[in-house]
Amino acid sequence: MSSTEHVWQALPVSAVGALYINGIQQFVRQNLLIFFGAGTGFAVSDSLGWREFGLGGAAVLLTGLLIAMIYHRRFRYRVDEDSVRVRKGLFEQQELKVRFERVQNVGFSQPIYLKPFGLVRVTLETPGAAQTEVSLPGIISSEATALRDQISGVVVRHADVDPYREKDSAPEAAAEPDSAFRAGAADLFKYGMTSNQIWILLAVFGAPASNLIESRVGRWFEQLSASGLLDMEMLRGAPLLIAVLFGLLIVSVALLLMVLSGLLAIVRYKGYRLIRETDRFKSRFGLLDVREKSLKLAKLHGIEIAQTAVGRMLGQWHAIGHQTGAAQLDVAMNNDRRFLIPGIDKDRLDDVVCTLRGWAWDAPEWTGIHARFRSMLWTRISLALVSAALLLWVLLPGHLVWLPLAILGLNLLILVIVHQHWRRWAYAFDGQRMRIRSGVVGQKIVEFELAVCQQVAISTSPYQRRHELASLAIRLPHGEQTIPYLPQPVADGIANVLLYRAERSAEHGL
Amino acid sequence: MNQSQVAEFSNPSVAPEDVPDYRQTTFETPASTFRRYTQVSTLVFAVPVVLAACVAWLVPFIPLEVWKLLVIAGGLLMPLILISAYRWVDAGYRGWALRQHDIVARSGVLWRSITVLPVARIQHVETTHGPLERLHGLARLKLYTAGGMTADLVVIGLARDTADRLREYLVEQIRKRDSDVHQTEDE
Repeated sequence: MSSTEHVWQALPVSAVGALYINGIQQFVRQNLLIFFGAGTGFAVSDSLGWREFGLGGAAVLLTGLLIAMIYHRRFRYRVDEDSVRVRKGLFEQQELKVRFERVQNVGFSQPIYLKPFGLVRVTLETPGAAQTEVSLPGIISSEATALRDQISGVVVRHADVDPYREKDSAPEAAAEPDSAFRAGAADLFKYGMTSNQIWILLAVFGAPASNLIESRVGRWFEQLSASGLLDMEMLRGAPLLIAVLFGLLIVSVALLLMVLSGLLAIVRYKGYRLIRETDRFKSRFGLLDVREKSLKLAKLHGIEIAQTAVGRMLGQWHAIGHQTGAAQLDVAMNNDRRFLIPGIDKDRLDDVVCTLRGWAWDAPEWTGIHARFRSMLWTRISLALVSAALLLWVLLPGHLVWLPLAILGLNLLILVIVHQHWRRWAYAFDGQRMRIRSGVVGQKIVEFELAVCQQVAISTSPYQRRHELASLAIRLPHGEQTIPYLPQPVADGIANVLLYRAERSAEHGL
Repeated sequence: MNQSQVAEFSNPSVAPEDVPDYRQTTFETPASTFRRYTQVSTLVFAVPVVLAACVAWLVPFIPLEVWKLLVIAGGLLMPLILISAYRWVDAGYRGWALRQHDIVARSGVLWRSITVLPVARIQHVETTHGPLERLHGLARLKLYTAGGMTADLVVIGLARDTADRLREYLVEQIRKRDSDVHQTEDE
């Protein structure tokens, strides 16, 4: 690394391929709807054939290649003693400088197309807006490792300690600390099934898939009816049967999506390992895109453990190590900048949290929020929906009852959800550390030291003031946590201790 | 996990009298011109509505009768009148206080809020003022903490020189704090 310091360098020639493929991927991802629309238009249009499709596709690909080559030619980077500088841009040249002390997370990524060239994509994340992220799209892996170690202030005694080399040629890799946590394929599959990735898959594939299913199912019904196996008239007279069949179809699609999500999680997080070093955590994972993320201990301000509704059924959790500003970062499918630990089963959850925290904590019992939170919402929602139901019953011709009854049924469902939400909302506080739990069926628990508190707000509505209650909003480096409907003296007491700890803390450079 | 690697944790108790109470704060009121500013700024939003109503009344080819036009104008103006009245009352409930270790801001008439921001957490301070605020000699103080992409606390209704003095004081506190941190690290 010393021979390349303080000198502006270009990316290796082989990085053009990386820029090209990455650029195409980003372009498709950001314009997904346009591509689906164009595909549908092409499919239904009579005047467009395969030749036109080929010509259009070739034009896009060639333009992408030209852009990648120009970007590569203009990209320069330089590693100084305490900072990294990057010059980049197609038409407008932009120069970025990131000081090592500001770097919160050094991310490595080695997609499958970079592996033959021995290149790695390095991302330096800093607190604040996404624009403060600096990315080196493809540098030699030994350079990347040395840069990471330089940022972390680690002196590398042995040359060429390179985790991206093949195992046989890197005997030094055996000197790495043991993993604090490993996620197996089964854990990752369950994590994928229970994660919110399903909604992203639904958003991306939902519309075209539903069109395909509708046309296939329609054709299938017609064939069955024509063959005499199915009596359509009988079916039309049995709406309950239709509803059951429709329900089964939805469940099948949901199961298919869950399985697909589980498989995607295995590909994305294959071989997940969490390693704790002296001053940082490292995670390594990935099949087609091998990634390494690091998180400085000093930048870890909060720990979040979460369990989705489906995760509760399967006993699956995941954890996130929160850094400054992390709550506002992208959580798109391939751009998850959080320090995520997936696939934790309930037996290993305490160990993982202890590892992140650094010590064992005998947390106090949960204390719930006041029951008036529930009764207030119950009253207002019921008043609104029952009034709407009555109004509809009066106004609808023939005084139809099914719509008002449906609204009343919806009202009951909402009341149950509100009750669950109230039950789930709780906190545990010992004067130095705090946990806040929230959720409805799934749950999320955020844990933090009081000293990292950035700001406290106590708010009261007229209803709360009548009943001597208040809501507490705690601003943390990674986002805000709220505890509503606390008794006023309790809210005041917690706020005072939070401020006391924050104001006495020696840690200011958050 | 290797239990021998778990560090010892201590949790010394804190005497209640050592914990300052955020409620024991004497709040400063907004500048004397703030109330007038709230009325003028609300009026500025009402001007297009009033103008549109006048034009509609005078222009002959709009097929609505005069009384209907007046009802529409009244319907648009009524919320603005209510907002104006609310902002007048709200100005009386606002307040701010600078203590040794934090800055406190109070706001709200029906939905009330007290926000406390430790000085030790402030990363960046700025003052801003729009044209109407400049006309009334007012400014607002914006305070940013780590990780925040927008201002974490905005104190409005300050006299311009008060805002400037607060800004300079807080910037000096940040500078002292950062040099103390660097000194500690060097040691």
